[in-house]
Amino acid sequence: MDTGKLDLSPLDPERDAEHWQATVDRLLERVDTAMEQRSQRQDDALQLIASWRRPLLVAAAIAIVILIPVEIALELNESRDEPVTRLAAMSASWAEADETPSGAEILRAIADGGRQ
Amino acid sequence: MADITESDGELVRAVRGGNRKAAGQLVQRYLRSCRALALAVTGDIATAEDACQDAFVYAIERIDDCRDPAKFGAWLRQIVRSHARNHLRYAAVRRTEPLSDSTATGARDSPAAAAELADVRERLLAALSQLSEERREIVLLHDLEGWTHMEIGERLSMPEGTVRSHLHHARRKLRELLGALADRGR
Repeated sequence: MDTGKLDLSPLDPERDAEHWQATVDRLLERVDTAMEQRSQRQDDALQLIASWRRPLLVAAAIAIVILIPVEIALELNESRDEPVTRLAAMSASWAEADETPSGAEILRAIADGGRQ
Repeated sequence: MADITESDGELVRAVRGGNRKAAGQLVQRYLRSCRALALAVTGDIATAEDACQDAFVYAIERIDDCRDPAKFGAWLRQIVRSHARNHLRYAAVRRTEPLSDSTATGARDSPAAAAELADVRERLLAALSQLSEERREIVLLHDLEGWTHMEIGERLSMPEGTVRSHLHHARRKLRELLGALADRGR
């Protein structure tokens, strides 16, 4: 029956120390090459990022210089259009309700920019 | 510099940082047990050693994919297992080196001793091939690599009692088979 450890020493890799050392050395060499390639890939990636940094910064600066004034102008236009839109809506609601506003009401609506 | 007492997590981080010595430490730490695992899968020493070599190189190349550096061992074992299965599948095509003399026997043994060792080795491998892969792995890790039941249980995510039971059955079966093989050899 099961009486302790089996002798598996014939399968021990270090039974042939020379062969095993050669196996280890060969692997260490391959691992070393893999590490070298890894570090080369990292260097390449860093170099790529570095070479693109300046053009990216310039593009970002141009975008900021162009887009900010455009955005401000659009905002201004929108705020200028708002009273006109409101007045149009107010006139439409008067027409729909078949109401005839007095002159004073029209003047007040224009002065308030269509706010009720 | 990496030190032998450093944890797996520390060594993996060092490898990620480009430390070649740390990669060497991981090789030294895991090569034997990975060979035992590959041998359990392939049942052939040369194929197991080839699979181990490829698995280690693959692991180092993809060290960034190891999500938990502290569990490098478990991650590496999955890679070894998968490489061993692939090698087994393509063994006939891929093996460039047949079981050479230096692989099969001790280089310094006399021809008679070398032949005897090769014969014993062949019998052991034949007997091992009759066990399940799991039992082969357990018996190799315990009786060849000297791992404790607890270490095997932790690595295989298995209760210690189950490891003991597998080991017991594996040994019994191997003894039976080796006896039968010895009888047949006479």
